Amino acid sequence: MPEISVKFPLSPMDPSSFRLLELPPDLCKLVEASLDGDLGYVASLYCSSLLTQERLSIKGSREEDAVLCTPDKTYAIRSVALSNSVLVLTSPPSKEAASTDMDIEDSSNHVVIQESLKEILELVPTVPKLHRLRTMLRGMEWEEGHEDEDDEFDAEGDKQPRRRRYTYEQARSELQASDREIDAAIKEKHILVINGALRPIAPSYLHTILELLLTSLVSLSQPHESASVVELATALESDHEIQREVSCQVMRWFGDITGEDDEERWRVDVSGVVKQIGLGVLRHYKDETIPETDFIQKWRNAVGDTFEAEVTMEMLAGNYLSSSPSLSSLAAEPKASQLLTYFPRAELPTDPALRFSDLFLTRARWKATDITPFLEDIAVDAKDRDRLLLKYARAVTDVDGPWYTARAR
Amino acid sequence: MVITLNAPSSSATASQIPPVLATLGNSEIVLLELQGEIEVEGDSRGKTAAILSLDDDGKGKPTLRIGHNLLEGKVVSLPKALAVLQRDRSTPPDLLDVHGSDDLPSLPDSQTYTIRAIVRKKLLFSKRPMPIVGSGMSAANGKPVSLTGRQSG
Repeated sequence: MPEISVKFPLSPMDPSSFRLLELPPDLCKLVEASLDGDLGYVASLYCSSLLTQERLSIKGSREEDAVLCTPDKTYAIRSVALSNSVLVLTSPPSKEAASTDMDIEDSSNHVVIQESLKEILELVPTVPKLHRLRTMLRGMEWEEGHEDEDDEFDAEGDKQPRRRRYTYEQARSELQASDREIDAAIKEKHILVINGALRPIAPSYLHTILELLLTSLVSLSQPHESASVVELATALESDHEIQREVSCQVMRWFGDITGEDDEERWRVDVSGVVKQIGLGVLRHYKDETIPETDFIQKWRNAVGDTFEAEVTMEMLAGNYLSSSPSLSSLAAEPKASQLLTYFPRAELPTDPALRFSDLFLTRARWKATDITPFLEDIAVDAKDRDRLLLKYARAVTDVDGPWYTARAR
Repeated sequence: MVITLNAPSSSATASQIPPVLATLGNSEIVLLELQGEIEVEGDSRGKTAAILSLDDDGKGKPTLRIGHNLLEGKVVSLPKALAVLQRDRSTPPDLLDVHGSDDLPSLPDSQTYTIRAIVRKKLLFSKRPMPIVGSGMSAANGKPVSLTGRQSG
């Protein structure tokens, strides 16, 4: 039985230089691919896109709990204290082995205690923490007629506090989310990248641009499966003074652009456009209600004849509340339709506890089908969502089926 | 703040652990779990803390001799693989940055860690130590080394 001496290091080691990180299986594969695939690794040195794809980073400011980001996922990091101690053993550092005056013949048969660890780091998949984005970009909306002020912005990154812009690079280093999740959020939240700065588009302006794009499609007789980007952008720029940079990004949010330069074609994401226009119409009914039938009529008019058939209320799930008309109006008109109010989940808190307390302040009790659209963005999957419901809500069943109410404190 | 985790550069795989330990899955790092801590009186630098015995084929029970204590352990497969991260000392100009592909700004307070190894098995010594009586089995270099810690099994 070979014997191996476990030695203390000759020179004091840097304390806390080692960490143990527990890898979920999918992440383990990713790391192994970069560790083992030596050939692939060397090749990636010459290909920056591959290289950035392999990067793992831990992100967070001092006040935040750190997260680990892969190129496309985010994991929360939890420190788990161990009751045992785990010794990290390695071979002696090469210089130490050479200079040591003892056991030279033995150096191949001893290991050195690098550190004694009392904790490991656990990873739990989590939703990207992008809520800061909204706060950080407050007051930086890109609105109609306010484009000129942008001249003050220095593309190199203005250190002056006055009208400092928040850049894409800053977002990548400060937000606790993977690059792909940030890109998706920028697209989903309709944030323009102008000279490297992030500028959320004002909803009313976006609504205007989309309506103009739809009317231009008709007036220029462009097919919506493959419309000419140049012609549309030119029409919007010359007739409505909408910058090309802006209209092209809007087209990218709502469809795919293929081809190059002057040949670029826009394939319209029809349901995406129709949904956004629906939101634009609905937005005006935050404090008052609108009967569902009236709303659908307005929405259809706004999208025009071509896309009329696409309109369905499911598209707007998570953005409205529907309530039964009052008894008096039902008495007057027995077939009165449901009343809608604008209630966007994007404006609700992302912290689960706060989200639920907001939801139950809005309504004392919810049907399962009504509440789930408002939880989708804070849960990783259906299982996670049910876990949240179990934790923060109480299920009550009556003749109408299950209802969720607030948990008594 | 961003901490980047790097894959090791291939030149860093210079020193290898004794071959018998490499049967545990990787050639650089071994994790050894103990109850309590190893303590040594006086200056511990370069001292032998324990003698580890392990069969050539990695089978059989490993034993650990600490001073006058003998511990019997086992090789445990970890439920989830562990990445062993090591902090890079002075954030030297990264090998990878030379190729101009670094798009993360290297802030002064930024740190990097290198993934030294992925570990799937560990040596676990969780049993009560057995005293070794008689015979000149004193730990190397004369100084008594002791294992302190909870004595619960």
